[in-house]
Amino acid sequence: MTIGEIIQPFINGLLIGLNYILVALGLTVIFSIMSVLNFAHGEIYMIGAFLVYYLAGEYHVNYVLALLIAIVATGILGLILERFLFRPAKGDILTGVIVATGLIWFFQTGAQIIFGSQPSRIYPVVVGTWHIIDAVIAKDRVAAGAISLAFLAIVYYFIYRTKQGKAMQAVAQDREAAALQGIDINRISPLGFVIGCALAGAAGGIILPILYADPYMGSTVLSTSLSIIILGGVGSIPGAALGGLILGLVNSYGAQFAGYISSIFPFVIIIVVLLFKRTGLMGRKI
Amino acid sequence: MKSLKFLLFSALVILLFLIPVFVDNLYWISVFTKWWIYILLTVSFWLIMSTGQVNLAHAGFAAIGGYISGALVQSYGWNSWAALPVGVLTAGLIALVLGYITLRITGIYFIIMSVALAGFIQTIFGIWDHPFGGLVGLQSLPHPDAFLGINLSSRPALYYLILICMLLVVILVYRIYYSSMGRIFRGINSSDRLAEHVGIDIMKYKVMVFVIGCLCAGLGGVLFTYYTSTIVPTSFTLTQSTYYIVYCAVGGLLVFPGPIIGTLVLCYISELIKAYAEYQNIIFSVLLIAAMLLFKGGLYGLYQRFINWISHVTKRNETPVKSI
Repeated sequence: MTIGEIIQPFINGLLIGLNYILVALGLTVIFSIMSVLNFAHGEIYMIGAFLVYYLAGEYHVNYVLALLIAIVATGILGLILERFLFRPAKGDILTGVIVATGLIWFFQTGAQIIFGSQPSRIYPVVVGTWHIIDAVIAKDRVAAGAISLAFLAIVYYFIYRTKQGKAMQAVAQDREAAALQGIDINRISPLGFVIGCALAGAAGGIILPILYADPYMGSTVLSTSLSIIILGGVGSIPGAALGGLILGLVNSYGAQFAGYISSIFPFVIIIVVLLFKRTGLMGRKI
Repeated sequence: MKSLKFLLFSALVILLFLIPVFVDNLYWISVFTKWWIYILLTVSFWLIMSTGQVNLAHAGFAAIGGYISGALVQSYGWNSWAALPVGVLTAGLIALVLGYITLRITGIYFIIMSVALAGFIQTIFGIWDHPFGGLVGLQSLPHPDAFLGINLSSRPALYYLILICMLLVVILVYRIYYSSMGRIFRGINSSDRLAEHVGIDIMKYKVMVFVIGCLCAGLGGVLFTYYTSTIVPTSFTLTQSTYYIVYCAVGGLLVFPGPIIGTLVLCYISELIKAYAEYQNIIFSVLLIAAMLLFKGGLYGLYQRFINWISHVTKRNETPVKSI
């Protein structure tokens, strides 16, 4: 085993972890504001990836522009979902979960009919590699990590530094108390949903030059991001970030040293965390 | 009224037993057999849901039952009647351990655990080559052995076996749901805090119902291996479990005949639209969302509303039936 075999999965894991954080963060934001566990989050990610695939791959739109369009489109989709499906569920967790489960089918089957089951891929936007010691780092992965980091910074700034973001935090803490302070919940909820869905769409668009897009990519992403939010602590944004990096490393080293068996790691993490420390690494006490 | 219900039920059971006598078509007998398995699984899924827990790993427990019994029969040469209880009990045992740990807290944790478990079960059977066959699964399993001298290798014989198991599970669920225990389940569903405060050990009942449901799921899985003679990692996935939700939601979430009605209606629909099978999930997902957001009572709720309306119009019944 060379040093490169240790370093390369580490860097790749951190880079892919940044992408995981985007998805898990969206799931966390939606859950903490709406009490909706959006199981269809992976499908939004898939839609983001396919939008970028069609725009950049088939219609030769500039990749960055395609990514921005995909983000706006998934955001609008989030707005529609919130207004017509999740707001009528009235914060009932069970109804929300069942509706989201229906959405998984709807989008998965729809994507299969419209896009076909063939994996689709665009040409890498950034080509080339760097050699560090004897590790090979692909530039497109670094670029994907950098874009993810930029989005994370924007969302962090929005949630922690702006008035709207603080209102979102208040709603996440206590919906009724926030409403009593004069925060318009019916404006904050769609905002949270739009941000959550746009993050998922962005993550899908960012990952596309590295991975294939196919109609079923959402289920892997869902299990990964569920294990991230469970590991980090449900509802905790720093927890989602930490969990995302850990999951990135786990998946990266797992794929390197354990092969196919590593695909059970996310499930093992969820089950082990729920067995021994239900609040996760940084979660609030239940 | 009660004797009328019993009479109706007996007539229905006799009718179900007579189907293979009158239906000469092996295809339809086989389709009915499949439906009975679905009813068994959906009803047991619904029993767990009656305490407010959605077990998205329900199909996974069926996979455990099916795989364990199939592997014991195929790789170790067990008699299938010895392998059946082992498969069923394994599913129940796993449910007992996991249920005891994850049912302690309310909210989304149980659902997340069940999603993870569904993926875990599917993947682990895909990885495990011996004796579970890896991604290829267990192929060409033998027919179930003769039971008390009755040969079970023909389709009608299998039909009777599965019909009897289904009826037993339906009766069990019915008896539980309308016993004092069922009232406790409903209490836990509507408010588990309140139930706890009036002195109900909600943990005990939640685990109990989860284990009973998963035992039934294991049985369904074993019967499924008898029915198809094969089991692969994708036989019982998360998608399968979501089918059970749709069946319950369309039939009516809150009342007993709901899941049965939903299963029959939707299985019949999917039989009708078989030529357009790729659109089936879209139709089902729209039905599911519509049922959850617009008609919480499902088809049975609509039927009750209709009955109410009739009795209201004809004024025969002064006290209207309480609609759900």
